[in-house]
Amino acid sequence: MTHTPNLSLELKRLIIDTLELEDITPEDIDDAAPLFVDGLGLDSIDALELGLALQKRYGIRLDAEQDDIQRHFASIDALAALVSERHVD
Amino acid sequence: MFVRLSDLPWRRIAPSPAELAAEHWVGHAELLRRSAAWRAWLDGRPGGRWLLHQPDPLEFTAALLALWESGRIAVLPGDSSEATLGRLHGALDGALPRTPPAGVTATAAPAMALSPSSIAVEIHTSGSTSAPEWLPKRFDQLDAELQTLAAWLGDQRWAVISQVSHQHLFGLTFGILLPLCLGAPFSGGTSRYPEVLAMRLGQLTDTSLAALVVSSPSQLSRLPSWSDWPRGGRRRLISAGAPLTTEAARSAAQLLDAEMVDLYGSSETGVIASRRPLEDPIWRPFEGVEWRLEGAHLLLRSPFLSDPTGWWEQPDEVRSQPGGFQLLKRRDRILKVAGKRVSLDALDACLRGDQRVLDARCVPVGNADGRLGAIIVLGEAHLPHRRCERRALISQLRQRLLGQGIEAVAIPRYWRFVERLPLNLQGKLDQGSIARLFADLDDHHRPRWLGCDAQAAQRCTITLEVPERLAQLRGHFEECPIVPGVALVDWAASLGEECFGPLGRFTALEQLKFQRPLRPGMRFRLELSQRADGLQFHIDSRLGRHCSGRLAFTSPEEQRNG
Repeated sequence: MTHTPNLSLELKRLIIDTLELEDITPEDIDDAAPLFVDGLGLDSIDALELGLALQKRYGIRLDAEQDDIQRHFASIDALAALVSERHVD
Repeated sequence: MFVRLSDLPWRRIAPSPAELAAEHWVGHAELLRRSAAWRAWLDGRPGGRWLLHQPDPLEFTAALLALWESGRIAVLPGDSSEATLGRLHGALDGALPRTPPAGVTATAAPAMALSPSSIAVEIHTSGSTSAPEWLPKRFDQLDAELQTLAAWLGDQRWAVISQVSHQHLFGLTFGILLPLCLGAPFSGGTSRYPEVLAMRLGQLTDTSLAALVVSSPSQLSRLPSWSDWPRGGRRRLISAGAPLTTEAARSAAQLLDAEMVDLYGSSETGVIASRRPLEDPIWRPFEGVEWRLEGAHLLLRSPFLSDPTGWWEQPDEVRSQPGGFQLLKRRDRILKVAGKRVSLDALDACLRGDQRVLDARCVPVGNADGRLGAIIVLGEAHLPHRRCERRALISQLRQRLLGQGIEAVAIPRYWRFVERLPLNLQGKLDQGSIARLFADLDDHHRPRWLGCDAQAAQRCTITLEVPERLAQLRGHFEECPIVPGVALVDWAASLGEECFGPLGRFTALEQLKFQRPLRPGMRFRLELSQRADGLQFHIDSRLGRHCSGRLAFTSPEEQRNG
């Protein structure tokens, strides 16, 4: 993975704060584990919230024709790859 | 042009306009081809009731038509969890595979005639009692509703983009069946993300088709405020499933440049009424839906109901208004979380089934998205004292709910483990107590409040927990966070005022001792006693004493005199 540990920590905090996961700390989230259903147990509403948060924080907007949206949201690793590639300052 | 389901519209109406790309829109030619493949797969298998859970709209519809044309009934679960499928196993004649049959070059077998009085689908619904129920819908019921909706939509040619699941009645009716009966193209693949919605709207801009966007308050309240949402063409945006705030309605209508319509209905009744939330707050019943009031209770008689002649009691209270009604509240403990109907009684009962749980109350906590909180009463031996114990317990209770087929969005997000329910003097769990239990969600400087024992007028013991996201933990040791001493003193002072009223002006901090660090997720007791010389406090946990001290104040009287 090309992203930094800082980015992965930042994304975990973003997820925890955005979704109000009150019992989860960044250490509890495995970079490679699935975020939805099995892993953290996030659901379809969380996906929408997370999409909005990514846009606000990093200016990232997905392209429905080019992107497999579900794949980008699969894990912290996948999200970090997306953010380091598309981050708009 | 409208053709009833029982007249097989998919075999009679011309395919969708050539201007729409076949890979993004479901047209009738592709539908018939896929349906023939499902027919071939079903050939030689038992008839009867078949489970259909298929997220892809094209494959879902193709499979649905294959079931109907071969005289079978489609049973639509709301989810595909193992618990749900396990519960159904044995009660059905078969389950269609998630992976569609591939490479079958079948020509469409002739369809069996569909009898209007036969059952078309059975829909899973969270029943008004705790048990989930299966709700059968006949073709004539569905056709009556679809015909009304077709007239309501008018003569315009439509393309339908649905953001909601077709496994539930609203998404099925508007996203799949209505386009079938109108010969309207509908979006293939999921459209629940705003990026996809924008793309599909863009594809319609240069066509003669008007866009019918089928959505929900969960989606509409989370639309990104892009400046370049595709514009142009007529659009109608419909929302159902939960109350839509005026703010969300206004911003969605503006962003999508659409006329906004809010729908009221239920799985049992189909559509009941509609309104234009930006123009008129009154619900206006659909053509053919009769209604009357018994007190504040809404009674309905409608051709969309299973019994079109009897009066159906809708579990909502309403107030009559010229031309329609105003919705007041639901009469049972059923509410909507992200548009999904959730029975709080069912959640409570399921949680109480855990042998450690003495009582359980799931409650809305008043946040915008409707996520639930759970208040769980445990015996002393089972109360979690540390973060890892709390997490393990939550995980087990979540698994328990999922295992009983509760939908993921309905699972409580916030958990409070208490020794007894904080009831008011009338023995009720009132809004004040609930707000206090979940107050730390909005104020990240507060500890989590879990109960209070007032032993005497001047003594009080409060049970608390250190929230993981406590603001004071920030920067207080990245590797090993502990609650700073100043936060503990603040809590003693502020909770002291909550217990005993205004304490006066703070003058001194005496005999302060920190003996043990307090960490995130720890459960602790704050013991407060009000004495002539100030407020004495002790903070203890299962590990022993953490902190003690005395806060001295100028009494309010002295303050006034001085």
